[in-house]
Amino acid sequence: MYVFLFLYHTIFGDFMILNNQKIKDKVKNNGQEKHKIKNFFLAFLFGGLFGIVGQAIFYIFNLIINLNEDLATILTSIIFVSIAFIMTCFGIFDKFAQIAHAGILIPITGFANSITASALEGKAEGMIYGIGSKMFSLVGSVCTYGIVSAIILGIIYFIVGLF
Amino acid sequence: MKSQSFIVKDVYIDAIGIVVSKKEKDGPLGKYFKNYIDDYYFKCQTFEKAQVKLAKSAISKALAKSMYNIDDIEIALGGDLSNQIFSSTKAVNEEFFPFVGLYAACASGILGIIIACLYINATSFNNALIFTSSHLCVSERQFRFPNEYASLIKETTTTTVTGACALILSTIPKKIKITKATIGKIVDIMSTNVNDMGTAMAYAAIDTFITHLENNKETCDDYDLIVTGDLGFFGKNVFMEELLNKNYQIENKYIDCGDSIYDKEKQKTASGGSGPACVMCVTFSYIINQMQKLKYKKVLVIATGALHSQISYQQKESIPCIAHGIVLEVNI
Repeated sequence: MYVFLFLYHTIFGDFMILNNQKIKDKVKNNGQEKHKIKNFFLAFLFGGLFGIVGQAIFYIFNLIINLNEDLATILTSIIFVSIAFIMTCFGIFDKFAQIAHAGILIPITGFANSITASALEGKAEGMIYGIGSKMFSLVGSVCTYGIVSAIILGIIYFIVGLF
Repeated sequence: MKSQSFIVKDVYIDAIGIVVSKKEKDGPLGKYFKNYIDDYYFKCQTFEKAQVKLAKSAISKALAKSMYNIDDIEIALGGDLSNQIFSSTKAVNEEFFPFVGLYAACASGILGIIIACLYINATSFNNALIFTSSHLCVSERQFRFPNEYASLIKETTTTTVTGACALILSTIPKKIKITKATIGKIVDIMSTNVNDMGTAMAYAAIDTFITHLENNKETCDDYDLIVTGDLGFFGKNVFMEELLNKNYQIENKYIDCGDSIYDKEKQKTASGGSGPACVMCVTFSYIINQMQKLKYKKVLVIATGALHSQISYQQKESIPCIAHGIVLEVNI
């Protein structure tokens, strides 16, 4: 029962408490995205583009420089993170993200951006309370739930392995 | 109990000091802003310090134009969006006048004027300093995400105006006077969408607007212009529609400061400007300028504020909104 209420509240909560139907419609309509298809297409395009570039970098490391696959994968990620880091520092990333949308936010570049942005923001408060603690303020939840889901999957894997 | 209106006697605008950033200078009202800063740091180490410096320079600009010296100021009222209104407090820490800190989100400046009017009418003193400031990067950091974080800007989001406005009120007759004021009540339409504060605040503005006219037994025709604070493009439309449905004819004499301060398409500011400096900077530059040319003689200014905090919206609380109004008139 409580689970149901909780889910109901989280899904419909925002709209249920509005009592006036007219106001409710207005609040709902104003927030709606009007260029959904365009944004969807742009995100697909840029996401795909980064995928191709990533794959190219991977092949360069793997086939031309003759590194093994694991090392090539890691190096590709590092290059992408570094690019996102530099772009964030120069203030280009957030402007670019307005065009590329999820295409640049969902890959590892989005993760790098949130860490860098938080760290830059914390600079004024010093090394300990600023950069050190604020660096993970946005990606903290990604880390936490990444670890939690890894634990759950580990348990499932262990139980399946018993039979 | 309804919102309260009262008549203000003999309060005139003595001097105005406004400082904005490059972004506002590039906007459609740019030619009315004489003083501007080139970058958001304003030669300071942090954005917070830059905001304090903005407020300080606005105060000194106002004092330079005023007939009063800094020692003559009898009370100062100020407010801004930073935590515990620190920027305003810090801006006057070296001065010797009494200070009242106010918080009404984006309506802080107008609330300051109302309280200053009450103060001047109730006591024998005859001047007051009101100042307010806001900074895009400070508010962005406090209410939304880190500045460089690539959060996607929604169409309904407003951009905080970077700027500061200080004005000195006095009892000595000048060209522009303040005649009436209305203190609004909290209106909560149960909206939890912090990216669309304009719509939520529009209903508070409507409430204050209607009660102001009812309390003073006036109609729309008595005013040459109606100004709202920072409803932005979407809130402005809601305000217009709702009032036209209630038979208030305001089409040709209504502007919204947030909607007019930026060029929506060119400057990519989503819904428009917001922040305590928005309504103050537009009203006391552009509109005062038009009033001095006698284009408008009686103007109703309604400043709106969304009184949510960073914690309150994370806990899915609705946004309580407030609107305060003042009437500016040309002294003939």
